[in-house]
Amino acid sequence: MQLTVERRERAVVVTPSGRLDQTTVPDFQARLLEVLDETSGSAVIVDMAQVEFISSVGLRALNIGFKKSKAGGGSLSVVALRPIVREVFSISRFDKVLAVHEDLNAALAAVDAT
Amino acid sequence: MKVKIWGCRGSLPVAMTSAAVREKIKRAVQAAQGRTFDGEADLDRFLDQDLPWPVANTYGGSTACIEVDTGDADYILCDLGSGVREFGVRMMVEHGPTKPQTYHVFLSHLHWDHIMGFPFFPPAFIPGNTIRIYSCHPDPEASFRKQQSEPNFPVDFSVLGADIQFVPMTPGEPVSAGGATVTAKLQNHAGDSYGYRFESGGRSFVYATDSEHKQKNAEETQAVVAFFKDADLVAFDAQYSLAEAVSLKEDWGHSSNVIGVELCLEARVKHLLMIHHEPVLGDEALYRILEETLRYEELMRPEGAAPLRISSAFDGMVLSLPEESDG
Repeated sequence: MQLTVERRERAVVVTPSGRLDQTTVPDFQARLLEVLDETSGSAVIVDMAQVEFISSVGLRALNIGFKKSKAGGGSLSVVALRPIVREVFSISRFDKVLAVHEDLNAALAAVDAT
Repeated sequence: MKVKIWGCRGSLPVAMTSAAVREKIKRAVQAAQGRTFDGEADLDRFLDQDLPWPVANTYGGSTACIEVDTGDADYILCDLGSGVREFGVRMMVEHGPTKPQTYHVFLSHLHWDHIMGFPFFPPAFIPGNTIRIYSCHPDPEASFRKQQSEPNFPVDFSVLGADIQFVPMTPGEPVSAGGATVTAKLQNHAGDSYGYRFESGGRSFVYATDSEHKQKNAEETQAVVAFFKDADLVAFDAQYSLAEAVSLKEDWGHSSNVIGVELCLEARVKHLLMIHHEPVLGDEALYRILEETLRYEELMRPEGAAPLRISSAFDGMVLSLPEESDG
């Protein structure tokens, strides 16, 4: 699992790649929480375009990040879900809990609107 | 070994509404338009093969009660939710009031939806019957006596004529009952709950209801996997979606279909049976969840691994291990 962080004017964009499962999630979660610590109160957008698959532990990591960002007065949204990842979001009903946007522009527009 | 579902719901008994019945009838009549039926067998084929399952059937609304039939003369039950009333009526029809029977009941915990059927269990009123209630909780008898006393219930527990014995169990220490070897395991639920693994004739069934799997501790997860390991059937609490279980309903003590699939795949379970259905969900919603769960299993299944069979429990369902469901 690779992860890049890009600080933009209006948001911080976190881009993981590969699978978010039992093997990779501990690292992903630690790095996501680090970013949230460093950018408390910011809008964080997780760009999922390069995530091939996500299991329950990956969803939990996103949820932990979501709760932390909310507690710090920020936000966390996810964008660009691949079809299989979108299916997992739907099956688990995570699409009802997390803000899911089609792409980065849509997420940035949502940040602007708040 | 056979497993029969007498109560598949969690939390609260429910009944299908008149509006829901009418909707099913409408859809069935629409599907039957232009058809003729050559006798009852043809009509049954239509119901079974041409109508969607939730149009021709219903999951039912009784709370937790599952029978484990090992072929022994004694009976084994998991929990005494409202489903035990119908089981008790069946016992009266089969045995009448003069043939004493022995019932071994394994209690997951003492929350109301798991014991509420006992005051309506006719065999408990009949002298000569023996009811052995196994529990890992301290003093389960107090909960039964409190439930069945004024002002909660008009017929006091002391009136019951059967020989009712409360048998303490310790997790990890197997007991023999009704032709099975039964082992308990502590689970994560408010006030604790216990799962039970039944072994008989080379078959294994795990009853794991009212258990929240928080995935925070690998050791805890692996202990569950070990408890489920290679089981022919695992009845698993799938009351909530994963999103509900980690957000609004976190620490409410229940699990999800997604976690059930992951644990059963890892434990190489043969058949996952989703139980403890959320009372607000109707037949269509529960059936959709079953279809989604089958899809999640496809996505999660390791390459080359045998498919995990998945079913959603309904009242009256019978599963013969390891054969196909005849319910």
